[in-house]
Amino acid sequence: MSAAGRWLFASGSARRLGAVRIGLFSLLAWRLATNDYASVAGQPKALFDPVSLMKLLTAMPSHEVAVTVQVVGVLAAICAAAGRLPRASFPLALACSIFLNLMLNATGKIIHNDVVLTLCLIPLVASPRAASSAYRLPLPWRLRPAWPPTAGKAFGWPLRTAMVVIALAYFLVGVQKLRFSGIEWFTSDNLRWVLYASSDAHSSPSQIALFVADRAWLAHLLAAGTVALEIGFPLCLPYSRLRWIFVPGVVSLHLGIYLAMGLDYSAQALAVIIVFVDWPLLLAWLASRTLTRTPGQPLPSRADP
Amino acid sequence: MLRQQPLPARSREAAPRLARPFVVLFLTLIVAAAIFTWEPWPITSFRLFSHLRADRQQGWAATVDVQGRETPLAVADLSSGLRGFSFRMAEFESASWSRRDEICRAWTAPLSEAEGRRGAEIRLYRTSWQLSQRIDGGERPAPPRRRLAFVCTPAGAQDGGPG
Repeated sequence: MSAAGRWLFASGSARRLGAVRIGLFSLLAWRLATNDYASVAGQPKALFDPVSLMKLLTAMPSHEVAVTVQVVGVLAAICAAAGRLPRASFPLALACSIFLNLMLNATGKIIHNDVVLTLCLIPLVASPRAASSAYRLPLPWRLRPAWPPTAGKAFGWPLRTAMVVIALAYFLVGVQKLRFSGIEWFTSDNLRWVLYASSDAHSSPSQIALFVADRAWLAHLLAAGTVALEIGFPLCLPYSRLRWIFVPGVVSLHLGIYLAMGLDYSAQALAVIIVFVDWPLLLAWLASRTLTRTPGQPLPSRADP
Repeated sequence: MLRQQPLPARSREAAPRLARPFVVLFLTLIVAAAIFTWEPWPITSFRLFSHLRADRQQGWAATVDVQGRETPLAVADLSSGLRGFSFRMAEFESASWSRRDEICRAWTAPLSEAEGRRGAEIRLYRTSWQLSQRIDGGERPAPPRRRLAFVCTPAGAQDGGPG
């Protein structure tokens, strides 16, 4: 097996996978509850421009259908985050999310805001038993909780596949910039025009966008930094110390884009944080800082490279 | 400093038999969609801001004539379900006249009778401006130049004329 295969299918921690399940499905529940699907529901047939599986429908779903799917999706995502009924709740939450997002995508433009979150959920949906082994909400009538397995190969690959998905997403976004625009993407005034155009599209000018666009050197620096961050992101898979640079880097990138252009990629930024932070280790570290620890008592193992 | 401990040996749950082919297929699809620019959402070709922008910016603006007074119209605000005006105009410009008629009827139908707009025309202007032309504070020195390209009526689309 190749080194990549050995890394991808190495042993992993059930707790870390459980924490990622809670994080990603909670984020999904929040997105499903707050996204404005009503803005496209019931759209006239003449304006229906479906992509992907939405092509199976002849018209945009009605408000009633959208609200029903939204409610079912939120409940299923909450159930999935709690680790209950994983074989039903995981795929149901994902299916509702895809359906509603395809509605948003049927207006003539591909919407990327929830792509990474959705793709990260797919490996979890493919491993419901492993992903719901730890941190499962106990049922009140079950007196003796079952002890979940703590580690094994079943718990590693869903999380690492989600990591690879995120790394690929950034890498491909960077590659597509160079493929369709070449190095002019950052050597020309491209980013300045993007920021000026974005500011002009709003009812009041964006002072942050104009601040950067008015300074060519700063726009070039940020453009080059963006491409370097995107192309270089996969390096933090084998070199885990680089995550301290790349994860805050891309989160800052999304925050900057939001402040300058008003584009909300919070779901993607949060998905990156949820997947790349070792939550059990972080919680144990926080506990060790606040509670008195017995000398020699070990911290939980770090199962993922 | 956090101490690293080896994983306990008491539990060694194996990965499912189909995990490897699933992961290979899943990741291959993601890469293939980017290479061949497929958009089978949630897998996409990841083309975000991938095309170069130029100093000369072009766009679209819509207005509606209300009792002889032309006012700006936010098509997306007419009623729910009319999102995507700017994306739609990209298609509208190159569409057939029958397709333009369809889109125009969809846009003019929700014009409110209460506001005296039922039966009114929607005028579609091609706008253009230089992004680099700025005054203090980053504002544009003048509104964009505009040319009437199309007129939408409840009956369908009409050419806006030479402008």
